[in-house]
Parts: sequence; structure tokens; C-alpha cells
Amino acid sequence: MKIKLYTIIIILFSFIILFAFKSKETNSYKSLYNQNIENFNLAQEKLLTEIKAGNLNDKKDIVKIRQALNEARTKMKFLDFWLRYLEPNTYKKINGPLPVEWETEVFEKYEKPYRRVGCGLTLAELYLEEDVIEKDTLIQFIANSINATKNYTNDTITKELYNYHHFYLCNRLFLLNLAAIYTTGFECPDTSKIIPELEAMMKSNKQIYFYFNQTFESQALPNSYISLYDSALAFVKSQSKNYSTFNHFTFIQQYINPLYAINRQLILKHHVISKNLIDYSLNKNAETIFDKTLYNGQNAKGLYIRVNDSVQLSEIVTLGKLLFYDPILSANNKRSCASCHFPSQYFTDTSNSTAFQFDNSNRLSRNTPSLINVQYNHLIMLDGEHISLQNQTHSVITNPIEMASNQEEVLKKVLDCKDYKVMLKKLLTFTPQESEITLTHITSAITLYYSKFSNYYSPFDQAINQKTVLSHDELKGFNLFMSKAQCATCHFVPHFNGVKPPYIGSEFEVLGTPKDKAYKNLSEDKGRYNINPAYETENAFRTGSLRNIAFTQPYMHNGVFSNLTEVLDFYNTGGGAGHGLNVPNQTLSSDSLGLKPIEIKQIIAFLNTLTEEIPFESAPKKLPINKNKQFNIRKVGGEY
Amino acid sequence: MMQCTSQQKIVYIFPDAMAPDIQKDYEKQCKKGYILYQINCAKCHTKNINGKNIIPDFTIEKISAYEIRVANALHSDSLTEERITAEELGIISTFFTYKARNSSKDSLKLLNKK
Repeated sequence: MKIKLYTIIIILFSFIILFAFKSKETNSYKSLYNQNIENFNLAQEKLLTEIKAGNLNDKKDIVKIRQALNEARTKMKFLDFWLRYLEPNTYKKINGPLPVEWETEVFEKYEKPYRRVGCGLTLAELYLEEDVIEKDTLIQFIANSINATKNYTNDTITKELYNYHHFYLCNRLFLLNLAAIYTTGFECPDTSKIIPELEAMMKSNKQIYFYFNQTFESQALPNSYISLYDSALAFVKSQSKNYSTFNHFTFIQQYINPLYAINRQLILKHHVISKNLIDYSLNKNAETIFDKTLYNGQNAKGLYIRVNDSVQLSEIVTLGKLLFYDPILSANNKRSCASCHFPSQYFTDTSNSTAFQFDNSNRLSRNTPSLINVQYNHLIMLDGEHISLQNQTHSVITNPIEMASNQEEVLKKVLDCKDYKVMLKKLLTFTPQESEITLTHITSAITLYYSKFSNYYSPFDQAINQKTVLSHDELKGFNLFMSKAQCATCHFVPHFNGVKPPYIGSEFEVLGTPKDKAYKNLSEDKGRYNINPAYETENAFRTGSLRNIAFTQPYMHNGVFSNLTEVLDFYNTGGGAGHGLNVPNQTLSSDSLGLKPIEIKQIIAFLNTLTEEIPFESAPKKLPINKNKQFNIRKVGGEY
Repeated sequence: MMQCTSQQKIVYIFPDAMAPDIQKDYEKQCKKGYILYQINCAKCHTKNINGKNIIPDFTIEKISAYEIRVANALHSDSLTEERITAEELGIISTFFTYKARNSSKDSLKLLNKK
């Protein structure tokens, strides 16, 4: 009996061995993955040994540690393609850009922000720059990274490697990162290594492509993709190793954006299916990276989300436009949305740092933001208070220091206008789940109206999509923006806002914006801290879009700067801390960027190419008549 | 668009401990959730068995608002953010939380139909 049992066990064991080897042979793609993980682990172990054995006060030992760190970074870059996509939160332990990040990703919008602790190679490298280096802290950064790397050999992750679906989605993210972060130093503190690292990573990715094509013949990358990728790599090799003289524009325009377009077609062709929340916002119908619909930020349609008929949509827009200009939404019938968001001024107010309060004498604490392109944010307001555009509109209408009205009053006054009532009753049929007209029917029409102005493109977009050319200075400005000026480490393509690939969250930064141009005091506005109090969020504000920046002055959350030269000077001198203010949690480096006046001019020339060709409209001639005569003296757009 | 959904009689069961006015609010949400279900989900998930429409008993774990978009391959096209908001998915979850379970006979039929 016992012998029989042993025989069965042996046979079973042999089968397992046989099967294991067989799968290794037939999936060379997965073998490459395993091999790269192993190499990375070895490099990290070596680094840990160097740290443990080294004397951190001895320069020679620090050099050795740096060498081992570089080696580990290179090995990590060979895996970046997979690591970032397959398990993004674990990746932060391996290559987190910040020690602590507060995140509210799009699928967590209804929950409190999560505190995520970063570890790994980039933070270890930054830590080596500090005056006093504690061995234990350094060990911790690497030990955590080693532990995190182990997760990537779990079946739950590696099972993805047996089908082709994840590959095209990994590749999509890889291409987006090539356009948005890999060339900017976003997570590479030593700027002299950015381009060499890029080259090494792109070269090693050729192996990934090779083994993928060998393993998944029916879904292989076509020659058109491979040859363009080879040209991209040749371009990088031919370029300057200094990221400030690297031609970022041509790299994206000639190579990365077209590669993205091919990859996107392959996603459609092979019916690629995502099972990963990282793909939550990306839109596979967007043809290029610079398509405004690249990712879905806000639902501008609100309650009318499922209305797609153009006639019906234009009816909603017509209503939304009237409401936008109608002061009936305010308590005293003297203020409308257009009181602060002037449609002829890119839906902002360029004449004031901050607008008047409802009382028409005190000032609000923040500069009026442009409404154009706000829909490409996951959180609305500079402190991220609102999760939807409709909530934001609702809050302005009911805020005692803005429009000072309330839900019941607004509904009654609006429905007492016959024209509005007829229109809204019709729109009610578009929302069968709603039994009656609500304030959300009103706010949704408003958000749909102003969001239509976000569908336009700028000369920069035309140029990056190869439809027009930019001048020498404009190109130079973009390349500086992506490198030495460090703008692109916070303002990511394509919207030049704080939403970075995979475009599922909004970033907040602490810049140390002063109260006034004298730089005597920090602005008193606590920003994100008001919503999510923490050390890291004090004075933090959501990064805004730079589109139409030439026409949306004054700048910063409090409108402290009146022109772009002042803004660039602020950054060039290291933000608030660089100007001598006490900003312990500033996320912007307090060092000077070392930009010359000509370079500042070139950056501004580039920023001017972000002005979108928007056909603005004139205000409606009149507003719907109300039953109650006293409301009919109200003025289109309000009085102040 | 489903504009004239024939209202199927649905029974909702609320915990006894829930105050009557709260129950009323929830019932309102459930009715909204039912209509959103009809618009977005019923085409594939409601089964007609011998002339009777049976809505499956989805558990809350199954329809957790975020994962639902990637839980099922077809959903990557049918349940995109352009078609339904996370908030609406939450309302559908409420509907399933309080909808009375199907009779065991119906559940069995539903299972066989699959």
C-alpha cells in the first residue's frame, strides 16, 4: 500500500516537474520576466550588503553604495514596463517619488484620501544627498523595496503573463510615460542619468517585444511598430545626453505619439480587455496622446450622461447657457455664473486677483479659475473639495458668500419661468430614474454648457500632431519646460495639469505661494489641508492646467502674480522657500533653476502656443420671463 | 433609452431596526436603482423564463461600484464612465441590497438558464 502511494507521489511529482519546465520553455516571454526580476533582486541584495557593510561617513563607501544603487536602478528600469502596470501601489515601495503621498484615485473618490508611504531607489538616492545619513533609514528604503519586489512573483500577478491582454496595456502606459515622465527627471534625481537611463530602458524593452512576439505570434507587434520603435531608439542614441538639450518635442512628435497611435489600434484589433483598475480613466477611442479625450476626467453631462443625440444635447446646452447668465440663481437676483467667469475671458476674471463676495464689498480668498478644461480633473476646486462638476456648481449657488441661494428657492424661481419649465420638463424625460425636476437638472445643464468650450485645440496640439510647425523659440521653450525648468515634473502632458499617466488621480503641490509680491508672508490659505488635514497637505493646491495660460491672468491660487514673468521668477528662485519663507513641507525644490532671461522668454513663448482656438459666443439677449414681475428686472449676466 | 419602463412589482426588504422615514428614503433610492438597472444592465442580466422576468440576486461584493467595470469583459464597453457614473452604480448596489431575494424555484430556473 505504502509503495503504491509513493509511486503515485513520484509520478505526480514528475508530471509537475515536466509541466513546470514545459511552461518555461513555451513561454519565453514569462521567462524573461522571471529573469529580470531575479536580476533586480540580486542587484538590490548587493546594494543592501554594501549599505550594511559600508561606513556612511566614508566618501569611498558612499561611492560604492551609489554604484550599487545605479546598478539596481538599471535593473529596475528593465522591469518598469511590467511593474508599474501590474501592481501600481506596490511599485511605490520600489520607486516612490515621495516619502508620503495622499491619494484619492478616481475609483476612491467617495472615500477618504489614502496615505501611501513611498520607499525604494529614488528616495534612497535623494536620502544620500542629506547632510546626516542614518544607516537604518537607508536600509529601510531598500529592504522595503526588496519585499515589495517579491510580490511580483505571486501567482495573482504572474498569471497575467500567460495572455496577451496585459501586454498592450503595459505598453500603452509605457508610451504615455515616455511622453510624460521618463524624460523629465520626475523620478530620477540625478539629472545627468535621465537620458542614459531612458536609452538603456528603451533598449531592454526591445527584448520584451522580441519575446512577446515569439510567445504570442497571433497577437504579435507588427513590423510597422517595431521599426518605428527602432527609429525612436536610434533618435535617443543620436541625441544629447543632457536632458536640457535633448529634443523632447521631436521625440514625442515623431516617435512616441505615433507609436501610441499604433498601439491603440492594436488594442482595438486584438479586443484587448483590461482587468486592472489602472485603466479606469483611459479611453481607447482616443487616437493620439494629444486627443482631448485621452482620459475621462469629469462627467460634464451630469444627469444627462446617457443623452447622445446631438439635437437633444444642443437643447440642454441652450438651457445651460441661459442659466449660466441668469442671476435668478442667486439670492438677490444680481449675480450669475458669468459674474465671475466671463465667457469672453476664458471663463475667468482677468481684472481681479480675487472676486467680490456676495456682499459686493469683501473679497473671496481665491482667484476665479477658468472653467475651460476643468473637466479633465478628477477632483474639482484647488483644494479638491468636490468630486463632480455638478457638486461644485451646486456649492457656488448655495454658498452664503457666493450666490447665497438654496435649493428650494432656486427651483421655485427657475420653474416660475415658463420657458425654463417647458425645457426642464422635456429634459426630465431624458432622466427616467428621476421622478421630478431637481437642482441637479439645472447644474448638469450648466456644466454641459461651459464644458463645450473645452473641446478645442491649440497650435501646440496641431504641431505635436504634425499638422503645423512651431518657431525655434517655442520649441526651445517646450524642451526647457520638459527639462531644466522642471515644469513637466508637475504639469504633465497632454493637459499640462497635475494628472499624470495613468491619469487616475490629481496631484497637489506645496509651492510656498506668498501673500503678496513683497514675499513677507506665506498665503494664509491652507488649501488641501482644509479638506484632508495632514503635514503634507498644508498649503497644498491641486496643480492647474497651463492651457490658455496667456489669457487667464492673474496667476496662482490667490492671483498674486500679474504676469507670467513674475510666475517664472517665482519658480526660478525656488518658490516660497527659495524666497526666504518658512515652508518646511514645500514640494518644489528651494534651489534656483538657473534659468537665464532668454530661457524664461522661450518658456513663455511655448506657453503662448497653448492658447486654444475657442470660438467664444456672445451673451443671450434676454432671459426667460418669470411669473413674478419683480424678477423680470434682472439683468443678463447679473449686476456685479 | 428606456423611457417607459414597465414597472415590474419589486418587493424591498429593509431591516426592522431602520427607522420608517429612512426606509422611505432608501425605497426611493431603490426605485431609482431599479430604473438604472433596467437601463444599463437588464438587457443582459434579466432573464425571461416562461414569460416571467427574473432579476438575478447579485450580492454587494459582486457589484462593488469600481470593480464592476473590469469584472466582466463585456463591461469594458458597456459600463464605461461615459455611460454610467460611479454614483449611479452605487444606487444600483442599493437596489440589490434591499431587493427581496428570488424564490428558490426562480433561482434554480435562473441557474439552469445560464
